[in-house]
Amino acid sequence: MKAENAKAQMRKGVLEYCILEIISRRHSYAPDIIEEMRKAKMIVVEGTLYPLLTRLKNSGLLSYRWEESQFGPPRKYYEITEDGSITLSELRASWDEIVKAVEIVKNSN
Amino acid sequence: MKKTLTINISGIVFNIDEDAYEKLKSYLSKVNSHFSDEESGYEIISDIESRIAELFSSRITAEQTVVDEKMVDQIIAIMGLPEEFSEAGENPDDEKEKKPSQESHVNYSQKTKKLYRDLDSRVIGGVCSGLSHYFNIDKLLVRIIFIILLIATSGVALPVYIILWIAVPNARTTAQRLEMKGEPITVENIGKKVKEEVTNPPKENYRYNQAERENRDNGLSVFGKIIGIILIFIGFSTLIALVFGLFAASKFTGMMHHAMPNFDNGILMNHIFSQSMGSTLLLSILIIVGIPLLLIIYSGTKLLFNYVSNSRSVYLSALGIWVIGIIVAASTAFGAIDDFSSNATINEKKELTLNPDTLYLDLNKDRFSNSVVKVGINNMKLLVDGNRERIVGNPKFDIERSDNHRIELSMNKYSKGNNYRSATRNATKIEYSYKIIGDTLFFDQYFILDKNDKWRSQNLKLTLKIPEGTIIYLDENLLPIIHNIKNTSNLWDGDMTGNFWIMKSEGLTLLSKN
Repeated sequence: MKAENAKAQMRKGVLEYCILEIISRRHSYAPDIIEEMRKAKMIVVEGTLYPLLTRLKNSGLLSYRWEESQFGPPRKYYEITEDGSITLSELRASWDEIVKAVEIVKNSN
Repeated sequence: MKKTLTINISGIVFNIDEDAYEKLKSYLSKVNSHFSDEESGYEIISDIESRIAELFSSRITAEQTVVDEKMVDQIIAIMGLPEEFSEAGENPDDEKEKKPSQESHVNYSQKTKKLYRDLDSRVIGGVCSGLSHYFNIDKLLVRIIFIILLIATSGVALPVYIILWIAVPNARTTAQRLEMKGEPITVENIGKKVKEEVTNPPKENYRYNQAERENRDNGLSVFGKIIGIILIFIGFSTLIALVFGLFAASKFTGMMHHAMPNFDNGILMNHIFSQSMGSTLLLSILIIVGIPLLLIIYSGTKLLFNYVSNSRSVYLSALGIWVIGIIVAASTAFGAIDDFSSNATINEKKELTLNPDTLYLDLNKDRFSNSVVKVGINNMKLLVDGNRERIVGNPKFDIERSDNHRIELSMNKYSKGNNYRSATRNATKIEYSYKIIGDTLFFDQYFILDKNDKWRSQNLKLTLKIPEGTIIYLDENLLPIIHNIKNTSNLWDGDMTGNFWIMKSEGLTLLSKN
């Protein structure tokens, strides 16, 4: 139970970083993002993604445009904003620091 | 054979069979309540709905034209259950609140009906049409009932309307409209209503979630509703009494006199305060007493009906108005005190040309025989003669020895005012009359103020100066006005009347006892 909790906490912090990474590469539609995340085993269900995207959009890190779709309603395509890029590079740096820190702790006796 | 329904998700129409519909409906209402606490919950929900619409569209083929249960299961598997996505997406703070509120959300989507104002079919503020949805009766009937109530109470029901107008929110979002009509919030219903939705302000969404919490806290039981009715009744009837009381006191003083001859103190206000001051004071009293009553009515409607309002701002603004009322009342009262801040005395001396053996002193009984005199505060009295009202007072009558050989009547007129000049003017306007018939001097029982003058502690001291050797007879009628006349026998006023007296160098001396 405790491990579950800690895992959830860890994932939570990393999720937003990963979403920014994916969107920074290309304009993305939510299912595309899910596909990548699912491959990396970060997210299993799509429902998780929508609140995260909305939150990132609300804090100005992402923006979106509507695109017509052959199936069903128009789609929201997300892209990264300037603020988002800045945040992303900060997150990259701090992720590397964390990984290094964990390595050091794990390997020291 | 299976029955199918038509639903509209994100503007796209699907045929769905009944079992699949039930499943989708319960799934979406779970998603709905899960995100409705979120700041942009509305947006998230509509994103999810349009994704579902897309997934359905991609699965509808020439062979498979109807959404079935299997398809719904697949979609739920793709999207995930709210329990599954809560762990990753939420803020830590949100999560704590999530658990208890979840229950009430499910509840609410099933049965709760809320009071909203219906602006779509309003005449004035949509209060009546809102109530008609709430009670499920015809709008017209509610309006007729309200108009009857308005006439029956001569307009006093109006504040109740205004309170509801201010306090009850109007139904703006689709969800609120459904709540207003008591329809469950389902995909089908939202689809039906979605055209009415012009904007999607997240604030609205947030508001209706707050409503949920408030609703839960209130625990709108039957008991609460009974207390609500009692509160409205108390507030309402007291308000009627207050308005009528103040109205009567300010406007119908003449009428009140005849109807209730003993009802004096309210009327006296008019004679103390100037016109504008009087109405300001009445208005501020109305505010000071009325605001708490309106709040009682408000709390009553809050208990009786299920509606969302910002109680904090209602109470704060009421408090603000109430404080203003207090300030106005206090400053008016201080203004009135100011009207009593200065005083002035004017002296008038009249020589009386009479030289009888014995001077008879009596009261002019005829002068006020047609009037009714009501006792007020202090020395102030109200004289009512037909429809006219005048302020009168008892003069204080004294007898002294004259320094010369003349008989003199000295009148000391005293009044207060907001400065010396106005005090002098008030004093000058004191009217007093007496008459001489043969060897009798008749005094009026009262001095009279000018009909436009207000009561400013006016007083009149009458001093009859008689030379040594003058014999006078004090009639018993004089008792109301004589005031501590010095005499050698040290008799009280009451014992002095009905006797002959002679003025000697040592003072007024009893001549004979009848």
